[in-house]
Amino acid sequence: MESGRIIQWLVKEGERVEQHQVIMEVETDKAVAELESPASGILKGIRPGAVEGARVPVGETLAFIAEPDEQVPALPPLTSVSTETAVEAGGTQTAAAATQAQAVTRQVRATPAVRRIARELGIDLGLVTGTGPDGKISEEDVRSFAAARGGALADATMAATSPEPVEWVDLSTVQRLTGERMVQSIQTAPQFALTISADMTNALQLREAIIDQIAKETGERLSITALLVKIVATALKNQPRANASFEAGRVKLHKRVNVGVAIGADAGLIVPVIKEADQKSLVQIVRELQVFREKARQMRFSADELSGGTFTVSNLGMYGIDQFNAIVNPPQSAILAVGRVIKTPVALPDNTVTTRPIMNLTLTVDHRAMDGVQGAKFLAEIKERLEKPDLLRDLGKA
Amino acid sequence: MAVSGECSNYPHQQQLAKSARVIKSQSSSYGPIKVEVQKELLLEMYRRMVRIREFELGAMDLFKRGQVKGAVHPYIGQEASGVGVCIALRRDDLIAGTHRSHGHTLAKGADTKKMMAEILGKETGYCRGRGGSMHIAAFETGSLGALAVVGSGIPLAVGAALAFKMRGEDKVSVPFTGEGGSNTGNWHECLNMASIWNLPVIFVLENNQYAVSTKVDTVIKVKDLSLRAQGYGIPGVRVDGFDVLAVYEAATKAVARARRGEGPTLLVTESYRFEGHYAGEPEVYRTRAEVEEHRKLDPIPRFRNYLVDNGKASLDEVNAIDTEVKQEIADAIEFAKVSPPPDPATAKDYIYA
Amino acid sequence: MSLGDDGEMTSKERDATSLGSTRPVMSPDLIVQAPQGIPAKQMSYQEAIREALREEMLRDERVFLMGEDIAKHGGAFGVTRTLFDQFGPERVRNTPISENTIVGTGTGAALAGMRPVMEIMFVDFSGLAMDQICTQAAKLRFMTGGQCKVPWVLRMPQGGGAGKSTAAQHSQSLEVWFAHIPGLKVVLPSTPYDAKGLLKAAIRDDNPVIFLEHKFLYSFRGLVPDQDYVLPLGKCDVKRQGKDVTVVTSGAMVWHAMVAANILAPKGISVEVVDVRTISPLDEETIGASARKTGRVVLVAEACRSYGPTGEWGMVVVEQAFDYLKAPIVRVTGRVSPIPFADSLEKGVWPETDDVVRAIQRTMA
Repeated sequence: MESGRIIQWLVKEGERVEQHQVIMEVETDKAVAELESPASGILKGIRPGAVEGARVPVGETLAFIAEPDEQVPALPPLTSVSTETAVEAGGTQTAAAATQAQAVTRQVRATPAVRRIARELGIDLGLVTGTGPDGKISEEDVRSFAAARGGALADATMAATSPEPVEWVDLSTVQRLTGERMVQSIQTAPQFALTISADMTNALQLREAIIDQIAKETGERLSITALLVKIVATALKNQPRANASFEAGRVKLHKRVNVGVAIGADAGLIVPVIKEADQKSLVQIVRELQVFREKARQMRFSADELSGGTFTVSNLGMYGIDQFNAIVNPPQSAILAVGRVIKTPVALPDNTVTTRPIMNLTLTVDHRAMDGVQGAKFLAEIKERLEKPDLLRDLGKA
Repeated sequence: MAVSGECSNYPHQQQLAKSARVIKSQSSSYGPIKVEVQKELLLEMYRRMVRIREFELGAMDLFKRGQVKGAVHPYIGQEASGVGVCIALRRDDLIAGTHRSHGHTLAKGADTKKMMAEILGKETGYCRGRGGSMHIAAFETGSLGALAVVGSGIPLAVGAALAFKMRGEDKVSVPFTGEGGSNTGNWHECLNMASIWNLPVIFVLENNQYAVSTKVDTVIKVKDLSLRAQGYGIPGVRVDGFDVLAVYEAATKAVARARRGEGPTLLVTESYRFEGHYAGEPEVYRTRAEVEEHRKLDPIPRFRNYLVDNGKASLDEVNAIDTEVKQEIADAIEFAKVSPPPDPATAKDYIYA
Repeated sequence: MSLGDDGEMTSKERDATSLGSTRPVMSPDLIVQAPQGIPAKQMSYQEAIREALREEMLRDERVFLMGEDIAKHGGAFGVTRTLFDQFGPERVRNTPISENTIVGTGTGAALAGMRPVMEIMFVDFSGLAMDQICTQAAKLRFMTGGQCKVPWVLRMPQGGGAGKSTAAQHSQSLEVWFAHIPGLKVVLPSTPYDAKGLLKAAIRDDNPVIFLEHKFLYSFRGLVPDQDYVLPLGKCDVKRQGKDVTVVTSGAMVWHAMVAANILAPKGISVEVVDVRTISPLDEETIGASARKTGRVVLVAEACRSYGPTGEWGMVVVEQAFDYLKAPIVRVTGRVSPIPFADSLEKGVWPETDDVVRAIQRTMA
């Protein structure tokens, strides 16, 4: 993130603040974030220009927390990064700037000629995969990227010039940025999906067994999603290859397992992250998910809560979706899409038919980081952990 | 080429040139010389010497005030040498100078306004502010200019003489240099070249005794510098550089020789530099006493006295010249001060023709 | 990257990678410039220069020649042969061994309205005349605020040839010495056609022009129109059109570039050869246009690499064509060393055709 927009000051100049007290709300590229006071003292010397609506680069000093009689230096007026109207219009000319902030900060290698062609075609080289040595981007790489994108742009143009009556809906910042991230994801990562169906009989039984206990401790209903988070976290710990990112021609294995959970809010899809999910108990996970759901209603997340994810779980089962393929959330290399539990006829070993609660799990994988076999193994472990009673039992205990 | 083909300003010189018998004096001797010269010419000599003196004093003053930048190299004390030679030349003859050439250029008839404007670096200067004190050229009066590299103007004068000869013109070319310059390769190569091609050059060597801080006897073995000419098979003449008439007489003879196609002459004028090598120099290399001794030989009062004492001119006439020249210099300074500097947009003009 | 100095191949490696003995020979047919339909003669570079001098001396009586041994003897390289007989001692003047005064006298004559063409026997001797060339002649017009001009030409043979053993003080390529001085023009023709047309232009130019002749090109022959023609100073000549690589070069190296282009054409590499011709003032536009067209540039110069002409040409390419470069600029230059006498050491001191071929191939990699 390179800049944020000040939404409002919650305290005034000269007021006393306590450490960790929320003193300002800032719109980040993901959501509204609360800025906590780093210390206790008097808020002084607010920078001229640091007002509602101002866009501020990351790292700029906005004010001081000082002793009552302490002098603070006068800060120079803020030069805003860009006008707010341009950003809110959500026009494509700012898309490039925002995507720059979003884009992977690897070094782009391309000859001057290739850079010029990219400029002329309006392509951000940061989005292009280079097929040359060390990821060097060739002219063909740029042109095929442009061709792929050009198709989409052409459709959009045609739609825009249609004589049909239309209504315009503005995207929220979150929606817009999510869209751009998804574009980047499918354009840079070759993705494929693996689907497995898990027999949820045992899992649902466990859930029944512990749901009251969980409810007593957290005040929350134990959701399938929470169970999945715990299972996925454990599986990720066992199969680190799924807990990784592709970067500059190599796979980066993350030491911590931070599972993002996709939550639908009015403003858009938000993915808060449960840090070190493998270390957390089911109760802790349930509590965190509860907090996230609350925050999602007002989009009041801290930057830390929204970043650092190494894997994402997305459950659309509550909306009746049987199965879907999610798009990998960059820079992660895999995402698990969960459908609803469906009462499905299954064949038993003796060839009789009965019904079982079956849930479809679809893992979408960045082929640069993981291949089909690795993905399959990972999915298989998740299925196993959902189905095997002894593994489920451990889940309840933790 | 801006050198015009104007006729001589002094018709009587043609008579002088025809026969050496008109000169009732001896050359190559040291001491006051009597020579028959018309009054008009005598006053012109006086005027030019005073003009040089006042110009140099004005330039030095402006330099001390910081209005002239770079450096000025005053010709004070040597006026008789430059004027004596240049009065013997036509407007379309050429001279080439040194870094100490305000005197030569003025002696050849340059305009004081354009000279002063040039040393102040103004657009109205002879060189449009591009040259400054050390590179003042006044082509319209036959002055190729001051040149800052010692000895480097001499080949230019020789080349010009070559051109005159090739075209069958009777113009002559006069490079000035000091005794220090007579040690350069340029000087020797040029005497050689001019002698073998029999060019109409008068090599004037002004021995002012010092090359910056270096006394002549530490860098040249012969005492009589005119002897150097013998090595090149050309005549060498040595005169008192404080006596404008002696210089004039010797120069006239050499010029006549050259115009007749008899080739080059070396003319050595013995003089002394009254001021430092440059204005404001500490002059640690010579004593005040020595300078004061030589100031007694100052050519201007000497000539003034000669004129008045011998009834060549009245006191009023010479005083009038003094006053006029002082005013002329004051006007020139004023002109230079109000003149505009060159426009930076023209910075790249004149690099190529 | 630079071939010709640090990190370069040993002679053994060079021999091992050489293209063999069946490479094309530098022949007059390699560069054909005389326009079609005009009667033309085969003549050598030396003859072409002489013809230029003759024609200009006939055309303008202000033109005369000065130099050592140029009269009856016809000059150390025979360039002025027969001119003394035709024009006499006034206009074809032998001088003493006084380089500084040759140029100084020429400058003075030029100031006084003549148009001298001076000769210094080897560019290596120009050091003796540097004051008159660089400090006086180059600057007189400027210092005097335009009161004069210095319309002279100073002809100087330069360059070396492998196996000719002219050694350290008779083999240098010093065009950059003069190219660095504002007020001078510097010309280096590569063919008889260029030599004649450019010398006539230089003589007619009102500025001091340094006219450098490659001493081992004197015998190279080519078609020269049998008429009065003048080529423009300050313009490059594209000697060969191509689309894959631009080779910017001058003097004798132009021939190596042309041979290299012929070697690579059947291998599918189309080479464009830009002959700089006037070192200063440099025609940046032609170089830039060619670099933008091909995106790959090889600079070839005989002068030694340090601060040589390829540095200037390389920066011009960067300034004019950076966004079009598909590969780093490569240069092939003379070794940074005084030129040795012994064959075994002299070999490899200057770029060879093979070096140019390899450099081109590097840019295509």
